[in-house]
Amino acid sequence: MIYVIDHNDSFTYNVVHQFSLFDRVVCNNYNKINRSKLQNASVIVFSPGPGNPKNYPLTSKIYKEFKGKKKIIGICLGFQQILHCEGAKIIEQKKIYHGFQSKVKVVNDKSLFKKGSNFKVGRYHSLRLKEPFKTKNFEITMRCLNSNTAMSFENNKDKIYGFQFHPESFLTVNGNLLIKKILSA
Amino acid sequence: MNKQDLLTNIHKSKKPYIIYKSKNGFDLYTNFSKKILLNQQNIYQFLNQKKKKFLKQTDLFLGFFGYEILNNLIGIKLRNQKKINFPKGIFYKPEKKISFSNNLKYRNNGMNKNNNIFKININRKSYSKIFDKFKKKIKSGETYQIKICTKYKTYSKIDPLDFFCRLSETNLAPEAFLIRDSNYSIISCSPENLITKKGSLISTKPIAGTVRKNKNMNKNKALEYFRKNIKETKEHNMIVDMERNDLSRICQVGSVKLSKAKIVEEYKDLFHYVTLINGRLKKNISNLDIIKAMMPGGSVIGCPKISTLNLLNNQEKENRNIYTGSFGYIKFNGDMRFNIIIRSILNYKDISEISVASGVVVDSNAKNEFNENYIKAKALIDLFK
Repeated sequence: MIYVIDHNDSFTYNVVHQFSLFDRVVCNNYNKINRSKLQNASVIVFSPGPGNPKNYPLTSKIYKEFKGKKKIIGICLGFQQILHCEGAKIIEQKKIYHGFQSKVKVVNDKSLFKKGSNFKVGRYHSLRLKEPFKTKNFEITMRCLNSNTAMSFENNKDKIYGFQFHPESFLTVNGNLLIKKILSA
Repeated sequence: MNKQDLLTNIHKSKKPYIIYKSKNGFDLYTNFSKKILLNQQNIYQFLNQKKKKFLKQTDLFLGFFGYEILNNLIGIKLRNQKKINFPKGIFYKPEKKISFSNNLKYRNNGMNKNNNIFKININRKSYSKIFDKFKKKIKSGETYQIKICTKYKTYSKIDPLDFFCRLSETNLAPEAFLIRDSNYSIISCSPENLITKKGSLISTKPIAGTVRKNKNMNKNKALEYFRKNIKETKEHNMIVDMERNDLSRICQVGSVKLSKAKIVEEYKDLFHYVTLINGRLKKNISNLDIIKAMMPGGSVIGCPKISTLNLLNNQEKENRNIYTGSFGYIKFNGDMRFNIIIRSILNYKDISEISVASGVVVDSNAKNEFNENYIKAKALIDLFK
């Protein structure tokens, strides 16, 4: 079972439908967590959402509790939430991408995806990862072809994954394949 | 009696009645046997009524949900807003339905139309201030898009049918409606359908993007304009993903699809950029679940819905009343059709109010949006001349 933590977003149920193609999904709001369902899940997904990772200390706590014990996937805010917990700085960016389709490129040969391949993806983020950023076992695996902004990370040792873009958006081509690969990793 | 005389007679009889745009004309509903004033308690009972058969064309409830009650339904409270105590929602049970063609003819030249002066509740300067404040909220990620509402008001006695007929002549909108009751009327040329539900099938048709028709603007050029305009495209994309989300709350996995993606629809004097999204409802979804998932309609609020509604409600000093609520019907068999109440005049106790909104996104500017608001209101303000 996949447990999706909703950060009051208007895209969360697109995420729920996408993950439901592969497994049973339970979705609860971040301040109404069902502990027993969370314990039973094999995968935890942090949804997109408004604001800054600092606004969601409860989600950070869940991350720290289950890191290395369950597969954890973060999308948009969820991506930033995980990096925030790993000590990264999440900052405002000059150019903001809301409803924007961009090309991203796989830049790392430790990725589950083939280095050099391109994806068209949908973006909805005001904030981004401040770089340089380095922490153990985490690799930045995709970047925006234009701005070079970090667009995904993978930690294949602890099975932690994050996308700054939205695999569930109708703007993302082959988003289901991305999720399928991460889930079967 | 011919139909035009019938219309005039019903109008002059002072009976309450409702006119709603149908596929090929207009339907008029009257002889109301029930009138339900909605409040926070009875709305649940109203929406959870047991399904019955749809045997007669009048086996339905027709009316509207105001903005506030739709917020309350999803757990959002409006605080400290100026109110005119207009009902939060009203539904009627008609006993008579009459169909008309698109060509509604009625004029009342006796009404005094002496260039009413409209007062605006937010002037250009305070609009810019609010605008800048929300732009900061977008930069910090609290909202991705937010629609500020401004209101134009005037004191006037109006003949609502005269207004509605003149409006329909220049702008035959697919979700137009008129409610005439003893102490209020609503005249609307809403173009936007929010919910069409038939059996287990549901669809929504958000509009994001409007361009005026002129000699140089045909349908193909309008499409080209929207595609090249990055701001319009981004706003539209955001609304599409948000409406997919709202449908996904109540629909079966894998059933939510864009059946028409980013097409141009042509109206009498403008082009709209629209997308049609369909889904198949999950089992055991009630009409209450549907209304809570879909309303208030996202395209007139901003995104994401909850945090944006909270930002809006803290900012707006006056209750939106009907504006960005929904008008439509619920048939006895559970089928529904609802629009989004925009481009409308509410006349209550002889005060007419027209509300408009336009979006703050990261690359919009205050002056343009303020002016766009005025253009949107102008078509309705012109009816008073």
